Amino acid sequence: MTEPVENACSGEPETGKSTVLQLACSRLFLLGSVFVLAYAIVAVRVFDLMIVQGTGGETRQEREELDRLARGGDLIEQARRGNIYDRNGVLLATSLKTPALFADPVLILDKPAVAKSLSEIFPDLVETETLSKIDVKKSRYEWLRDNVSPAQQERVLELGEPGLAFEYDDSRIYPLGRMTAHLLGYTDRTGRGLSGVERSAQSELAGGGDVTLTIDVRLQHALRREIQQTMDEFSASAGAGMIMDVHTGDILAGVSLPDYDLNLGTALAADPEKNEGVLSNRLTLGVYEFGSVFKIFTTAALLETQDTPLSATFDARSPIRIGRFTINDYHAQKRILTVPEVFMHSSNIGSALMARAVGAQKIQGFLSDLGLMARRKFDILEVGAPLTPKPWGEASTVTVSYGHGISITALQLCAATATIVNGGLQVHPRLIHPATPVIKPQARIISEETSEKMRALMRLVVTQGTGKKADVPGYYVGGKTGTAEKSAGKKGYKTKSLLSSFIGAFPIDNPQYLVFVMIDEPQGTKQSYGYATGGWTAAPAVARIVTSMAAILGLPSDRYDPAQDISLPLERYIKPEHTEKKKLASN
Amino acid sequence: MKKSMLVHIAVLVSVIVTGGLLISVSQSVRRAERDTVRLDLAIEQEKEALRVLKAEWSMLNSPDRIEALAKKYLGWDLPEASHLVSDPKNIEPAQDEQGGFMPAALGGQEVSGTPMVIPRKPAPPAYNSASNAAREESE
Repeated sequence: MTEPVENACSGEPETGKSTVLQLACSRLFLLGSVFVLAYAIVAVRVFDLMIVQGTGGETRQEREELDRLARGGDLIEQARRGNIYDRNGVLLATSLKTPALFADPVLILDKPAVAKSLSEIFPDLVETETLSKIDVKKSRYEWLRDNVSPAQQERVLELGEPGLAFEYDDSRIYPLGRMTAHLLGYTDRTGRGLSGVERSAQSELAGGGDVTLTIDVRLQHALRREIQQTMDEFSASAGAGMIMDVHTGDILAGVSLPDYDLNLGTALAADPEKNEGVLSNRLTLGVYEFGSVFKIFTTAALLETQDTPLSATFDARSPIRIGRFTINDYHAQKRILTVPEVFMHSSNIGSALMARAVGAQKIQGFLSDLGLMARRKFDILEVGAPLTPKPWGEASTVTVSYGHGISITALQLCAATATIVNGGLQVHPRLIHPATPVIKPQARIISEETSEKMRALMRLVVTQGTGKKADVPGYYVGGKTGTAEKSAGKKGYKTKSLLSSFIGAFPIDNPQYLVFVMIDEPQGTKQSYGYATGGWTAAPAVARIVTSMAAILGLPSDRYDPAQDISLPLERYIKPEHTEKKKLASN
Repeated sequence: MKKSMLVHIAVLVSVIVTGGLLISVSQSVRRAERDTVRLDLAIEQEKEALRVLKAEWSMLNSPDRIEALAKKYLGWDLPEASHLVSDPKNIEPAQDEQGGFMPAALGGQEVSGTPMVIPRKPAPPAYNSASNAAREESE
């Protein structure tokens, strides 16, 4: 016997009559459940919106934007281009988000008025060009200008023009402007390096890595200031200079003038012909015949390869004729000269005879060892290849001995001279400071003894020779002057266009720093008695640079005893008249 | 039947509670995500501000600017080589207005240690200003 089934609603035993009620009751229950569920969902949602989400404080739009960012991963930032620093951590280049102005021509009503207003806000925007850009009917996007300053942005916003808007993008900023122009280089609008370190270290910088240079901006400023002052004083067309650590090859400062503001580099590069003067890198790319500074290498080659004593003599009484060339002395002594005399009087005849004594092959080999015969590897890609005589005849040996017929870069000249004075070890100049110091074995190019003799000879040039104006009491400057007539190609040389230079090192008894200054086409002044030679133009600039370096680097002036001057032992090789004259002059 | 109804109610309640919890959890997750994004944005803004400040600092400390300001407001000029000495014995006494030397107690000061800026007697000229000397130094 089966028990009667209870009614779901009433709980009473199921009967035939109650089946309909039961069905109705179930349906009612189901419907009620649906309503309860729906209201519950609404209640939970309201609770969520008002209590849970309402405490965030942001608007719905902000919330949606945050949700979009969280989902879309826009925050996974692309690696920003790395910074460039000087050796002391001074920021030289960085990337900042700056506003760029663009126009939606469709939304601009009074286009001529907008073009006029923009040209007033941005002096570099030409009104007619701007008008032609925004007067395009179909375009919805016309880029107008990068790197809008906050003040300019405010003025644009004050126009209230709906068709002008900003978008933010990375821009390369160079806080020191033109200070390190040619070495640092610049990037294009997309952030790709176009010159200098920006170009050579592109992969590292683009990956977000920072780069530290060997440059010291304080020395860079001093070097730039003095070269610019010399250029102004002698109405020169250009100049260049370098300060180098003679042991490590670190370039502490490097200047090529005229220069340019790196923040305008891309704009200048757009018209390379017009801006060739400022864009030219005279330090590492330009090649020049440097003239008498080359006698450093000729004399070193003689002392090193021929084991010639300093007392050896060379007949400089009359000019030398080789083929169509006649070699004269600028300061003709018209007598037989010792090695120190040839060097301090900068005798072309003496140097030519020295080169002959060494021989063409050995001279070439020596210059090659010094890195003067081939393009030098360097930390930037703008490096010039030397122009060497081809074929190398006897006349080449002679002219190269005093720095003509061979064109090299200032970088090569400095590196080779550093090798001569640092004890004879090969120097590889560097601009990018290695993250971890790498100690490479340095090849010996000349002996310590030859290097010592060369340092004494260079000191003699400053104490008694053509470079007296480079002397700075207490700092033992040694060096060599150079004055070269500029080449006019096949027409020979321009006698009125000079390239005057001085390359020096200090303290010359144990050099640490090399200082080089080159002045292009200086004009003589009343104060220089009309002279525009290296001794009158570049040498005083080097003296001022050494003085500034002493203050910046904290080098005291009283560490050297004049009685211990390394040039004093050379006086026995110098004709007494000259020494006496010098003593009288100093009294 | 009562038992069955109780089961239904229990299921319904559990569905509602579970649903509520799920919504709560999902909202918590979204809120946490938004907080993360907000913090990331704030960090990014701070980083950008630091970059700008560093660039400004570098620009304001530019050696040419500092030099110009020092000259304009402090009257400082470029130092001379003889201003830097390491041994106090090498300091020459400062000159008074009449050109006489002043004792250290009055004019100069005792120094020790690293170099400091002290006026010193200028070095004699290295050459005569005659034109022959000028010619000698050319080239």
